[in-house]
Amino acid sequence: MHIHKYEKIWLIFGLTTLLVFLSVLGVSAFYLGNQPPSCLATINPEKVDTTKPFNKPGLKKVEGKDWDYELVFVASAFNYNPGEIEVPKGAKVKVIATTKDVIHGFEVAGTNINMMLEPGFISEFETTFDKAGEFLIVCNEYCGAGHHMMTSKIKVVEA
Amino acid sequence: MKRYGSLSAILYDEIVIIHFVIFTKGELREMPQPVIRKNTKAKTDDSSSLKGTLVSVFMVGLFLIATWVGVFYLFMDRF
Repeated sequence: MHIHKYEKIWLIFGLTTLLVFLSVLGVSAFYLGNQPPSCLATINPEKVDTTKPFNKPGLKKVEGKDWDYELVFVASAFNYNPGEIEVPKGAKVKVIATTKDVIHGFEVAGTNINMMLEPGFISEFETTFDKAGEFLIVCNEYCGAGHHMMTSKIKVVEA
Repeated sequence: MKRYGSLSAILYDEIVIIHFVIFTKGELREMPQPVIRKNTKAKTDDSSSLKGTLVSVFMVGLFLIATWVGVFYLFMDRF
């Protein structure tokens, strides 16, 4: 079979980029241990209010873990609990969230925190809040008539 | 009916000849013959004709890589 010289060049180029892309994905998942925000952790959606840590939403300091704080959010139609929270700048935080009713979104605008909250599942995201300012949390999964008004706020303040 | 020797048979032959003259315009044409091509070698383009394609492919490829890199740095910059 005859393959044109230029054709060989762009076939190799395409295959190389594909391999690089798949390698990045594989290293990220299997070596660095990255996983989707909702990964196998489950909860009874009817007992969210009495299940730890969702019985006390908000920020709390933890000891002996890879992160300094746990920031717990409970979403329901059409609000987040807490509705506003302050986080000290530079804090290493694990955001833990779930929903009591339907699927909600959890996007902290302008950051990498962007999760889907599904009833029955716990979504988690670990990050370091290294920029001061106010960050709006919005629901980005259509959840009903009040979807567009469903917001919360994270204030990152100088420690 | 005898084919020859009767008036009707002669008239029939005349009609056949007249038809022949009308439909062939008086010429005896050859039947079309299947042509066997002697030059069976396919025409191939010379290498310079794929230059535009190569440039286009690399333009798309570099655009994709640039967007990947851009999104990656955006991801690294945010918390």
